[in-house]
Amino acid sequence: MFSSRKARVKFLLFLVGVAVFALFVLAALALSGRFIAAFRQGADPASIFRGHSLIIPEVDEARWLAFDPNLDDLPKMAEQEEIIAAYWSAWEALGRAHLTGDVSDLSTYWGGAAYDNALSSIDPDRDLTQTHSEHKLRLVFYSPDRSVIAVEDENFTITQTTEATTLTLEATASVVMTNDQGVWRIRQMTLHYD
Amino acid sequence: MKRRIIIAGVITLLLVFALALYAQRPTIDVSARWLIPAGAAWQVEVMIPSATPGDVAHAVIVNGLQRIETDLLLGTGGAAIWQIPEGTLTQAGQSLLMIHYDAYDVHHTLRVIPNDTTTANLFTSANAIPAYGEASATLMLLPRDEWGNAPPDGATFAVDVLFPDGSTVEQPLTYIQGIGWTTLRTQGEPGRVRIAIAGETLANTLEIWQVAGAPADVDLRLVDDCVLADGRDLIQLAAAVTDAFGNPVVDGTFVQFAWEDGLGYGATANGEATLRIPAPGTTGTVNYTASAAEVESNPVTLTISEEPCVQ
Repeated sequence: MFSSRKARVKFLLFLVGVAVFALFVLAALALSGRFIAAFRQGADPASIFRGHSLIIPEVDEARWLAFDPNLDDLPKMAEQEEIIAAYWSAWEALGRAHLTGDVSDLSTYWGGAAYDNALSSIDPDRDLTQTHSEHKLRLVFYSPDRSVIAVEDENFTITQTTEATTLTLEATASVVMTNDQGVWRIRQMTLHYD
Repeated sequence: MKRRIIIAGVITLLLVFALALYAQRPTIDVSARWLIPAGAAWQVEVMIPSATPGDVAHAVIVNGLQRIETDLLLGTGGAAIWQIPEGTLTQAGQSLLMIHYDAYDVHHTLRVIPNDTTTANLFTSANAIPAYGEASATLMLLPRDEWGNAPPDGATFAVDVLFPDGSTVEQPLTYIQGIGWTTLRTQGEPGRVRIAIAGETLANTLEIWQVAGAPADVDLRLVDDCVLADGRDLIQLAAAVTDAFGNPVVDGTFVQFAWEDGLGYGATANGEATLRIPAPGTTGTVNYTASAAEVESNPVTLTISEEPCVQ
């Protein structure tokens, strides 16, 4: 009687041990898989050249309007993606700065007078959430050396929410961006709200 | 028939209800100057006759990237004044004012116009371009006022260009939406081109270089065309490379030297590339040539002699 009970306890302990061991094996396999994948993936080569990722916005977030065929220079597809990604990221960085009060990211996407204006618009004591969408970029000028671009961002939407109010704004922006050592930055911006 | 009467009655009631609601809607009168220069002080007068003294209206103005807001304490007759100090509304464009009171709000637009242009970034698509009218560069201008605002469309700018031959040209710029540009074609011989933009409140200068064209002639010479066959001498080849107009090509132009069983390379400095190599140790003659781009020089002949050369 006693020995059979002892054997049952031993068997139960064995079963628990097997279960715990199996869990350990599964966890080890999952972690080693991620470890190997991380090594195989390596660094993003583009990260050497720029401080931000190339995040191309969705069409309803930002898109190019058809180019005027009379313009002398037009951006190639890769350049269009690079520019619209930088423009989108600039607005995202501004939104983050409004939300967190941390302005360290602004200089990655904003430069010159536009940077000064973006920086002075941040009030760390105010809790402001800003979202933006429906950017439609119309090309005005693109320099032959691919270093300067002027665009008109037509009828995009900005929503600003504070404790007191929520404002939904329709705006048009005249924007000049420059390519500073591989990074596109907004250098000049004039906003018109409707 | 009865149903129609009921429907008409309901619609009438709804209309009366809507009109009653509309009649209760407070009138929010806003007066201000709706066109101001950037950075100017601004004052908004708000009047809400149906408001009770002590009520609060919320005011917001979105100026460029900045949002300024305040609570306005309404006084007698529902009046309040919002004074925005000088140097606050600095961003040109069309700003939006919103006054919010008792679940209702009104919107007005304020036009902020840029001040006189005080600074401008002047830059080109190339710092060095071939001379003689063979090439052009795009000249670009980013003008702005003391607050960083671009002038409005229609602003005119002209740049004065002084070419190396002393001739001057006034070059008009196309200016749209914050950027001005023009195509600058080279003129005359290689040399420095001075570009200046000047106005009552604006001055800036830029220099670019007109450089020689592609190699058109390579003139090769041997500094000593006769050496002793003792294998102890160095020979020096000098190739003068000029463009189609006889001007020295740009520094760093690649030159290839070639002889019967060898190759050597050099780069021009002040239009000349040189190569120093050991002289052959066997008597006889060796022909040398030099080439830059697709242009090859005249051959030059080195004599290697057992006896001292006669000069």
